[in-house]
Amino acid sequence: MRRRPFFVLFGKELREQARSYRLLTLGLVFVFFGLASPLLAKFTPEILKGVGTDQGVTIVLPEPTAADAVAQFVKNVSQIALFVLVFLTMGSVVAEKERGTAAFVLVKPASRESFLAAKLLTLWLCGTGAFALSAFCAYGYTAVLFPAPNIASFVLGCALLLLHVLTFVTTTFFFSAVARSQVVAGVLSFLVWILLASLGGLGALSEFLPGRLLSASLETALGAPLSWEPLVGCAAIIVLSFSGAVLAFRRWEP
Amino acid sequence: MDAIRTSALVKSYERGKVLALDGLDLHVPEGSVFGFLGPNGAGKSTAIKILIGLVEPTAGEAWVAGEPVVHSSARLRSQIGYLSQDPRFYTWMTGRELLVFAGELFGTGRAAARWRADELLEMSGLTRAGGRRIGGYSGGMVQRLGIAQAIVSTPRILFLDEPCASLDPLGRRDVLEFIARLRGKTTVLMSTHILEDVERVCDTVGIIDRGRMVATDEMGEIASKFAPLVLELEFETPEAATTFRTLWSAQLGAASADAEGMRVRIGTADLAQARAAALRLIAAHDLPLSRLGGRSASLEDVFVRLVGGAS
Repeated sequence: MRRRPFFVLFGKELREQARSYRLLTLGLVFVFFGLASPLLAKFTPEILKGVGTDQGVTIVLPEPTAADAVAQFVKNVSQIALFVLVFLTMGSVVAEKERGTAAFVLVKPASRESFLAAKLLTLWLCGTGAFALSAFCAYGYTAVLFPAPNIASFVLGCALLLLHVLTFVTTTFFFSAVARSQVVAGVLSFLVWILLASLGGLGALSEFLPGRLLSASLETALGAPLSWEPLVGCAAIIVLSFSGAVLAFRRWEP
Repeated sequence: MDAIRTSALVKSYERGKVLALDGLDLHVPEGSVFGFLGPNGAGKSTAIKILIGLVEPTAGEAWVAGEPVVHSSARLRSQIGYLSQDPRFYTWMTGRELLVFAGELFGTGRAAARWRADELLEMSGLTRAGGRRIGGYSGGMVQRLGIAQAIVSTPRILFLDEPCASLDPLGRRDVLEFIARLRGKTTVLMSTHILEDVERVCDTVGIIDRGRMVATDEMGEIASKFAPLVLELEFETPEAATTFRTLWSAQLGAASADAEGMRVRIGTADLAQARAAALRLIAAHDLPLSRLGGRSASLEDVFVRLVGGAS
């Protein structure tokens, strides 16, 4: 059966993720934070209490709840797990340009757009899979340690958090297509990440920034109504990043 | 009919400061094995990258298999095969997987791609290594795999950029024999600076220097056309050869000293006239000559005569 070049490239990307252990690494990192988040929420107050007693200080902390576990999960995924994902994404295009394998593919009848789309879709799929596994672990363990949160709200909140993750994967992908080295791609991605996070005081505009999705995901996971502004903002960033990557890659000459 | 044709092809970098191609006019007859000769940096690889649609020209036009060359044209790439100067593949794939992957990118079905991969592995002597990761291949094995992937779709036109660069003598012989077998079926453009390889397999040759075509002709014609005869002089000291070479170049034209530096070869259309001129020069400067003779020109003589000044 003949397959279109996009599907051939997509199949190759999936195999590469699996063979290079990137998929396994990603899965393990996300599962770890999925399991660790409720655990940290549950036992952090007791650990702190123990530290305070050793030093003759009494620390009074409120009894942890499922909301703390969800907050911990959102924090861990949006910081450390996302850092790992960005790290694994930053070389996706630029490494192939550097190694010369992009030129090998691009002299075959596969378009540059298919080359990029297959890569981004694979990154999204792997990120989504790892995230789903993590969210499943986080919910299950939260339900064991605390009264279980409403599952529909939790899933909706996770969807917002996932959108936040995929937005930064896509901006990193853009820099990978534009930059001349993996280091430059990584540095630019983290700078944009920091920049967007520090633009929280821009009034009405800050409602559209990806950072707003973090608080929205937590609020939604705990039952608050969904706010659409950050969804629009993230969708715009994703579309712009991919379009920019395509435009830059069309002009690239090995 | 020309399988490959370019007209005033220009490629410049750094806003025109670096001129890689300077009005290149190239004609490659269909079914021929074309030797694309030139010194390092002459523009061979740039020209090939334009012809396969990887690089966009600054000016000029090109046609491959009757199609105008358009940057990133899938239609163009479906008719060509390409081996780069320094082939790089996915090191995590096995040789067989790479060939199946390449075949499928050309629209071949999975089963047919596997069959073709096995055929090519056998043809390139990699059957036993086909199941091993490319990361463990030697330079020669990668080169042979590179040629195999370049012909995976049985292309109409094959571009080989320095195909024998990292091969040992046996590997080189196999590759050249393989290229020779393609004559008449596939048009092959082979860039190289190894003159012996061109003499062994090419039926047409083009010499490029500083981005311009300085000579194109059939293999048997080019020597007689551009350097019909060679006057060879051997001096007693390298200094005498250098002095003669400098004087001859300044007064009469290009000349070259061989690796030992004692000999000077001069391409000429009139051997008697060149011999008389050389003897006059030697006598005038009292240079110690040990031998003087004439012979027919080789491709090397043509190359040295046309691009010797640049290299």
